Amino acid sequence: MSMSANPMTSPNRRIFLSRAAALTLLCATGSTQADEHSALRFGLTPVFLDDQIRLLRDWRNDLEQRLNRPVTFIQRGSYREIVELLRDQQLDLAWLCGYPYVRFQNSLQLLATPVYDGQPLYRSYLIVPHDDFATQSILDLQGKIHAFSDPDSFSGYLLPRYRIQESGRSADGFFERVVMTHAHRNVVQAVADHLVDGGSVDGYVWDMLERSTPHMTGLTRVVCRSPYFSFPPIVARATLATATQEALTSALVAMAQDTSGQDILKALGLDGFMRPEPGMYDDVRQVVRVMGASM
Amino acid sequence: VTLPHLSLRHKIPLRSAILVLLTALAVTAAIIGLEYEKLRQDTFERAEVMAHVLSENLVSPLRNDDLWRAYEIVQTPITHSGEAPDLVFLLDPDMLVYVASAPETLRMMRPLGMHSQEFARVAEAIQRHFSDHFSGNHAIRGENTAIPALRIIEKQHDYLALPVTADELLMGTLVMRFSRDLHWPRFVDIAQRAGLITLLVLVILLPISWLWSQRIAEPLVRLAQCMQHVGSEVERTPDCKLDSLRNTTHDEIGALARQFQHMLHELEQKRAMERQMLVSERLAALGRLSAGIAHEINNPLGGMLNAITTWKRHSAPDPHSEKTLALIERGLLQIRDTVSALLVEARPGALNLEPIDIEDVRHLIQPNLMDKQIHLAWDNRLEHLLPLPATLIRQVLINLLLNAMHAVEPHGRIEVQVMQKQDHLRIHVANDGAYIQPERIPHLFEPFGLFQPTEGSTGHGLGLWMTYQIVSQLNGCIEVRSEPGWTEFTLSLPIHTD
Repeated sequence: MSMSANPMTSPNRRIFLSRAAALTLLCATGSTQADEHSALRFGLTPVFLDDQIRLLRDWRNDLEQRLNRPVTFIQRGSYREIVELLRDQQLDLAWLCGYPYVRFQNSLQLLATPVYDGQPLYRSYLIVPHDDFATQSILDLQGKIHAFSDPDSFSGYLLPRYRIQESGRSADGFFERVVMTHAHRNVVQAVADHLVDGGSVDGYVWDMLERSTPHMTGLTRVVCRSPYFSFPPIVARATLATATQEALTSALVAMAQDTSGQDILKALGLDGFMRPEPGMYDDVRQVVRVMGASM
Repeated sequence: VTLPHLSLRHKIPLRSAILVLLTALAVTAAIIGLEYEKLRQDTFERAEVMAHVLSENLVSPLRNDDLWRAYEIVQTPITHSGEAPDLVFLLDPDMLVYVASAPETLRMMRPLGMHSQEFARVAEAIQRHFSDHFSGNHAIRGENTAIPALRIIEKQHDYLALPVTADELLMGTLVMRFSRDLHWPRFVDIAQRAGLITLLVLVILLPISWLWSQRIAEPLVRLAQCMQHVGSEVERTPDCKLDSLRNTTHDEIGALARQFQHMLHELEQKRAMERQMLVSERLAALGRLSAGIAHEINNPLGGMLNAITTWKRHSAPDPHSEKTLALIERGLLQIRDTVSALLVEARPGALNLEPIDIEDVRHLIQPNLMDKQIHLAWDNRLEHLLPLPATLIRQVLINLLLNAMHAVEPHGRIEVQVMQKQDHLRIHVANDGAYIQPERIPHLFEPFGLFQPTEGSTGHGLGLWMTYQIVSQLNGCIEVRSEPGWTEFTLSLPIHTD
């Protein structure tokens, strides 16, 4: 969830960077030798609350049992890093936002879509501090300070900008200042702390936070909810063996059918995973196409 | 402290106690003050270390304009406990708030100075400080790239400002604010501990100082009380028990006690002398008076006795008249005896006192001693003839012995010592009988002075009068000393060898 801090001075940083490069090289060599028994590398992004260590451990154990194969979770602070790792073959699959999936769908393969509240859909929320009673829509926040989660986020960036564009104004320069918090959770925090005047957040994450940390969401007010869009999917790199892709989809879908899987789904706040249907992310594609010119 | 009516006994200890208390308080206050200052310095120093770490961490977020990351970094020191800052904020090079740990207190992108008067002063201080180190385009001036942190002391807060620099450019300023109240719990803790130690020290020191001061005050108080008595008690010199003082201490108080004792002694001597003079003069006057009266009585008395003798010889009185005359004659004879006893005239006579004369007295009184079974310690040291009137000496000795025998109880004790001491004859008669009340001593040698008619008493109360008259006519002196259980008469008579 958090970016690595960089407390090192210039010479140290140079050493660190060279080591990081060497590490990347090693990983790259490893991936070419990937076989059916090497660990599956599962990239995680802040599309959900990825800071729950116990949940991640349980989920990994569960997946390892279902796949009969070791699974490694790899977390990164931004969508972009995960996408790049996927495209560099350094990750096998990832839980990604719909917007980067649509952008790089040629090199990615849909595995499963989470089912939330009975449907594979979610919304974007516009939130303001709880003592702001005046704001009625995002258009009221013009010239204010606004928090987004990630420039590659659909619900936490693209969709609110789309809404502004829709009203005939330019999304660029609409706010006095924009703060990227790298996570939906931080958007809620920034609004609760009055660091910003408003924020755009993944509705599913906000709902989850309301369950786990109501004192934080209590300091925010949901101004409006967007229409429903397809839930951020789990995708694989296109180069991953088809059998493995199928095994992964089956494993994820099967979670809803036994208690150990249900426990994890309950902790995730999901009903289950479903096989993607054709045309499922067309709603996202539609928005991306409109906004595409500025991307 | 002036307490005019308080005794030194309390005043000196009180003052020393106050002194001890004030000293303890002053020392405690100084320690607390120093500790408090040290505490603040420590806080500043710790804050400086923290600020350096934070400012290094802030370089990257500032370069990437990653406000959220900067926000997370400025939040880290805020723990709401211990000696943590209560506000951390980052200013951009134009003194606008980049981010603050409390976004509601300091709005982003607003000038720091607009938030409050205090912040305005802080902003001004920072600008003044950094204008020395940075040129107009935020580049570090001169060789030294280590810009010192700036400490700003405000009424309720201490501030520490440290520039965030990268590649010799000013990227921003990190400011940490510390509430003065932060030090309060530590300060209270220090004060409590210092107070406790002070209390312990006081518990030990106060009684010691009290005791010490008491010891200084006590002799002074005793001297003062003594002096008061000197004024009031004319009759007797007070017993001040200054001996211990006089002997043990050699300081001013010791000297004072010695001098005072000396003065008392002199005073006592003077008083005794005055009393003796008074007694002597009175007795001399009485002597003259009684001698005069005796002479005046003796002449007609002689005539009357002669007349009675003549009458008896030349006429034959009837039995009734004879009886009457005899009565008158006896009365007149008694008057003559009394008058002659009063009129002591020490006619020198023969100056031939021999040791045997003294021994005669012993034989004379032996029967009386036997009656009362009195133990007599007889010490006659005379060895040869002395030119003194033997008759008078014997008379005096008999008088004293008779008095002594009268005073002692049966089986009592009497001591007699007669000796020559240089050119004086010393006669000492002592007994363990009833003692003479002090108030009667001055009148002891007056006629009938000691006379107490008791059953079987044969004395007429003129024994000591006679003794005194004889001694004084022989130019001697007589001393009486009497206390319960022991009474002694000492007389001293000059021996004229010429």
